[in-house]
Amino acid sequence: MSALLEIRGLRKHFESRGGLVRAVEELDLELERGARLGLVGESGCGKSTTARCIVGLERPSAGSIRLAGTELGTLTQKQWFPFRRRIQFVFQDPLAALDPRQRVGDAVLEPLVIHGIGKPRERRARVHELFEAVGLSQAQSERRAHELSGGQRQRVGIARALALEPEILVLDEPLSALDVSVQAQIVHLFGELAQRYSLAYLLISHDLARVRELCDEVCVMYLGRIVERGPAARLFASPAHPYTRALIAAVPSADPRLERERERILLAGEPPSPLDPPTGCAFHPRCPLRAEVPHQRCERERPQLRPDPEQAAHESACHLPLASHVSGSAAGRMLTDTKEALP
Amino acid sequence: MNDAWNALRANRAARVAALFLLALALASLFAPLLPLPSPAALALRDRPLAPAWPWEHFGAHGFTPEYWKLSWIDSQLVALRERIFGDWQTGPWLGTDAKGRDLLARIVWGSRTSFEVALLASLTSLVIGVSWGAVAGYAGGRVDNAMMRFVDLCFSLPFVFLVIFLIGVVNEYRAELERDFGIDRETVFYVLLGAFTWLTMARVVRGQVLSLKKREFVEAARVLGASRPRILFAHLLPNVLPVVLVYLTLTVPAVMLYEAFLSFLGLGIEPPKVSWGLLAVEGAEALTPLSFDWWLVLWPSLAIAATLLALNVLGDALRDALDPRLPELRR
Repeated sequence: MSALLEIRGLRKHFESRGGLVRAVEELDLELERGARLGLVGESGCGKSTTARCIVGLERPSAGSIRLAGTELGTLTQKQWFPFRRRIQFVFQDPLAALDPRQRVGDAVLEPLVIHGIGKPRERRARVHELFEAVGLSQAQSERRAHELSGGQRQRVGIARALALEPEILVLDEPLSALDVSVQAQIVHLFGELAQRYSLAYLLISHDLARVRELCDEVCVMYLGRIVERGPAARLFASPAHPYTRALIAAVPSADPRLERERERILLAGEPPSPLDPPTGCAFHPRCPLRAEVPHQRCERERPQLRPDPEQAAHESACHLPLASHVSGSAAGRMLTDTKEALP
Repeated sequence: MNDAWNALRANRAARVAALFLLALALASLFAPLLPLPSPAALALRDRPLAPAWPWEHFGAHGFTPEYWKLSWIDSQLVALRERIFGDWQTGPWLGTDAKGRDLLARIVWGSRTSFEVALLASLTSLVIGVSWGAVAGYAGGRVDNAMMRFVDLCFSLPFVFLVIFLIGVVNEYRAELERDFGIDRETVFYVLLGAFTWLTMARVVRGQVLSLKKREFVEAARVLGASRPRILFAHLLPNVLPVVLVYLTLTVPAVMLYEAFLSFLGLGIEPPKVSWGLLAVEGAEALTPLSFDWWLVLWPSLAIAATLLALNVLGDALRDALDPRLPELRR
């Protein structure tokens, strides 16, 4: 089995004044053709670093990134060139990601020029087509980034990424700089475009509601590692990892009745520093369920990703078995104890 | 860029400054064509003529073409002038010097030196300074280090001392230099001036490129597959341009002043050629307790001061106009 994009044991460390920053540790990820994968987590958990490694803006410290069997992690800039067409990137802040002195039409034209696609006239037509596809008018292509609204800018960013007809689109928090109403439009646009161009995309976000809407599969990252992954519907319905549960519980609801009943899990403290990750399970200093695992196992031993016995595609990295999460009751705790006693 | 242009036009001081500079540039370019007395024509008197306003003494016949060695184009222009105006010439509107040379003509012809120096400074700043700084800033690391240490090295040379030393050497061997290498003192002076003016521009551009290259739009270009030269020329340099323009309007007056200063010290342009610095020094020498020929020092100094002021006003306005925060500041 070989996925379109296959990441194995990806690791990215940065040298900094304070020491080694372990941004990403032993990350495994697959992206099938046409798949819609979400990557969620708090800021600083390594989501963006992962994305930047995939698109070649950072060189991985270790591990492999394979695109249809070709290793990308060790390529030189020149060798990367043909793969640029296949993997494209949408930035978080569309204003920063567009050249302030360039007309946005030229920004969308640029990838076609760089890769020598088509004759000048065909390129113009293609830009026209792309502007239409993302819902911008021809007149707007003459403007510069600062003359457009946030939503329009992000549409330009998407049009530019689509110009090369990539197989994979990596979206680094493409919505977080936008108004909620504009987010909805862009979300709609993604859905449409992904189908039209049969794109696989990796959506990086901290907005769980959007990820649920836009992705079939979700990975939850904490301090550089994936702590839970699974089909979106199942992961949101029955999150296995206490961190995922806290994330989901933190999403407010617009319905006041639901909002009152919403389970609240307050995580104590800040996420730990990737300069000095905690021993054992990285989440243990903030984990509300830590006490339920005997022998201080959380502090001593790092849990591996284990599949849910009911659905193998749903994996989580926690010493507590999935069943005990359903309720934090005494019964659940007892159940935990007996299960933990088994080998 | 359009916004900047409109903002610049809305600035009245800048408009006045630009018009003044334009008029001066035209006068200087077409100096041989103007019906001025020739700047080197001597009319020996014991006293310089005081200024006579145009309504007092508008002009008279008696033009005699006397110049230093002129270029082919300039001689053609002089010939054309003689065909248009005959031997008519303006009166001594700004007075004459002790040798009877018309001061207005000398100031107009002297402005050519200032513009030559300005052009030279702009060219070296733009060509050498910008590319040096851009390459150093974009390459970074060791290349950057080496290139900028070279700039530091040049900076550490005492410029005025170097000019004095080299001009002294050139003075010693000027006949040999001219005969064997075709290098005259003026060329050496220009080369020296040019060699020093690009240094600060290189530093300014390097700093800009260093900060710009970390911006996301540069990363975006990398993801698209843009080559290094493409990123440098298509994305970094256009964004450095406003700073370069503004800086240029500050460099040019500084260099003009330098030329005037060095000519004042007798190290720059040589008689019979004129420059504003030379005119100022002649004027200053003419001020004695016995003769108070104020016009000889006032008009050249005024010309220098007005030009530098206009350039500074224009540079200031340009900086404001090109500031991307301008629309918000105006609101």
